[in-house]
Amino acid sequence: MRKECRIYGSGGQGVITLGHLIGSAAIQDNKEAVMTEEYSPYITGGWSRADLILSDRKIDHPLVVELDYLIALNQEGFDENIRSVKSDGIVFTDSGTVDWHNSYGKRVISMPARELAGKIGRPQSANIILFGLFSGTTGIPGRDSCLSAIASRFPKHKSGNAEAFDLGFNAGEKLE
Amino acid sequence: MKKFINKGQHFMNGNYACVEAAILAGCRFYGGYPITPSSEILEGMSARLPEVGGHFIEMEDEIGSIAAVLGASNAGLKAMTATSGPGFSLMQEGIGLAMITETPCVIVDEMRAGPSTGIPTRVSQGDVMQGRWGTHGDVETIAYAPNSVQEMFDLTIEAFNQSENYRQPVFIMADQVVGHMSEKIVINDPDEYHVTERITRNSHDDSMTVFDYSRDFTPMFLPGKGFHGMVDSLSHDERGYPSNSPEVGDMMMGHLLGKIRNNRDKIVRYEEFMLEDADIVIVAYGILSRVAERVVTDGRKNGLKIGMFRPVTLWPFPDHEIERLSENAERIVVAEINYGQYSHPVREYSRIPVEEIHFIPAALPSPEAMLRSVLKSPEPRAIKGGVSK
Repeated sequence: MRKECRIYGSGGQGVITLGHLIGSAAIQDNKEAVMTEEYSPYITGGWSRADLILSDRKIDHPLVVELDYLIALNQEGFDENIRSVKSDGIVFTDSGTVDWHNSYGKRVISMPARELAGKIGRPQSANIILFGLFSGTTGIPGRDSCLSAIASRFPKHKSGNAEAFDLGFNAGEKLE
Repeated sequence: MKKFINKGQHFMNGNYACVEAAILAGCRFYGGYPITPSSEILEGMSARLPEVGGHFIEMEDEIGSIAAVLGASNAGLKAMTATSGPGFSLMQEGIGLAMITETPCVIVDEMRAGPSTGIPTRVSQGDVMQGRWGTHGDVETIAYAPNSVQEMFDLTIEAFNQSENYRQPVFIMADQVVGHMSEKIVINDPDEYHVTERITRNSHDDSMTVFDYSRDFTPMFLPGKGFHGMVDSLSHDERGYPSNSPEVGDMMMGHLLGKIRNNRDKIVRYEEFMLEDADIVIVAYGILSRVAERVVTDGRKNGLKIGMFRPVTLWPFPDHEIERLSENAERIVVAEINYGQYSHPVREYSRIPVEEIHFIPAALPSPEAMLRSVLKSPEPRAIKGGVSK
C-alpha cells in the first residue's frame, strides 16, 4: 500500500497541522509516513498545502505525484488539485464553503465542516472534522491513533477535538 | 526541563531531528543566523540549549556565527551552526581558520537553489563542491549527505564524533527537502549512542606541544587553565608559533591532510542498492538517491540490470569504490540537482566514461523523469511531481 494525499487550504485553517496529525497517527499504526509542506509567503490567508505519503513499506521517493486522496479546505484547493486526483481517488471537502460539483468524475465526500465546527463551539476544528471523515472513510489511520495524535498535540482541548473528530468519523464510517 | 527527547517513534522534520541529535551528541553552543531552509535548527537550538545548560546566540551574520562557534569550541564546548548556501559562502574564511587551528565544530549547510540568494525555498545540490573546495588552500573535508530524517539524526551525531576525532569542522550537506520534510524516526535510549567526548589535556601538562605533527590527534588545551598555548591562523610549528619556513608549513600541511587521508576508511560511508549484477549504475546522493531508489526498483521489475551507489559521505570521496564499480558496470550515470558537480570526481576515478544527468535546481524530479533521462528516451525532461504548486 502506498497512498498519496494532499491537504490544501488557506493559511490559518490548520492545513499543515492536519498533515502532521495524520502523519503522527499513521506511524502509531506502524505505517511509514512522509510529509512535505509548502505555503505562500503570507502567514494567514495565503495558500498552504501539506503532502503526505502513507505506506506499509519504506518510502523511497518522498513527493506525491498522483493523488489517492485530496482534502480541500477551500475552493482553490479543490479547483487547483482536482485534476491531479486519480480516477479512483477520493476528495474530502467542506460542502459549506466549497462548490465541488465539477469534480471530473472523481468521488467527492463532503460535510459542512466549518458550520458543524461552529455549532459545537470550536470553529477552529473544521480540519479535525475532516480528519475524522478521512479516517472514518479510508480506515487509515485508525480512530485510536488519530485521537491519540490529536491529544498529544493539543492536550488542553482533548474532549472538544474528540467531539469534532467523531462528527466526521461517524459520518465517514457509515459510507459504503 | 527535558535533557533528551523521549525514546521511541517520532514524526518530525529533518531540522528538529538535527537539533535533538546535536543535543544528544553534546553540543552546548550554537551561534547562527537564520536562513531558509535551515532556520528551524536555529529556532530549535534556541529553545533546547538553555534547557541543557548550553548557550545560544543569534549573531549579526554568518561571518559572526562561524567566529562565535570557533571561539566557543576553543573554549571547550562542542559547537555548531546551520545555514544555507549564501551563509555557507560567508563562512568559508572561518572554515579555513577552523581547519588550520584544528577546531572541531559542525556546520549544517542545507542546500537551496543558487547561486547567491537564488530560490530560498526550493531544493538544490549546488553546494557539493563548495563543501570540498570552498575555503582556500589545501584541505581535506568531511561532509555527510543525509537522505532522510532518520539519517539527519544519526549523521548529526556522527558528524560531532568525527569532528572530535579529527579536530576539524565537519559538514552536513543536507538539502531543503530533507530539512523540511517530516518523517517517522526512531530514537533509542541516549545511552545506546556512541558519543565521542572532547579530550582535553591536563591544564599543567607541558610535556606536549600544542600540536604534535607526528600523530593524527593531539588533545586540545583549555585556555585560561595555566597551559601556555598558542593558536594561530598563520602556518605554525608544533608549538603553535607562526613560521614562514616552507619546511614547517609542509610539516603542518602533511599533518592536516594526513589525519584525514590516513583514516579515510574509517570516515568514508556509502550505500549500495541492487548493485550485484548491475550493468547500469546510478550514482546519486542526498534526497535524489530516494528518487533513484525507486527508479532502480521499477527498472528491475522491467528487467533492467540497474543499481544505485549512494555516497553517504560526499567527502572524503569514495574513490576506491567508484573504481571498483566501474570495472564491472557498462554505464555509470551520475544524477544530481545541479548542472554537473559530483560527476567530476566520479569521472576522475571511473575506468569507463561517466554520463551525467542534471535536474533543474528548485524541483525534485519524479522517478519517471529520472528513468527517462537514464534510458535517454526522447521525451522532454519534464519536471513533474509534487513540487509545483
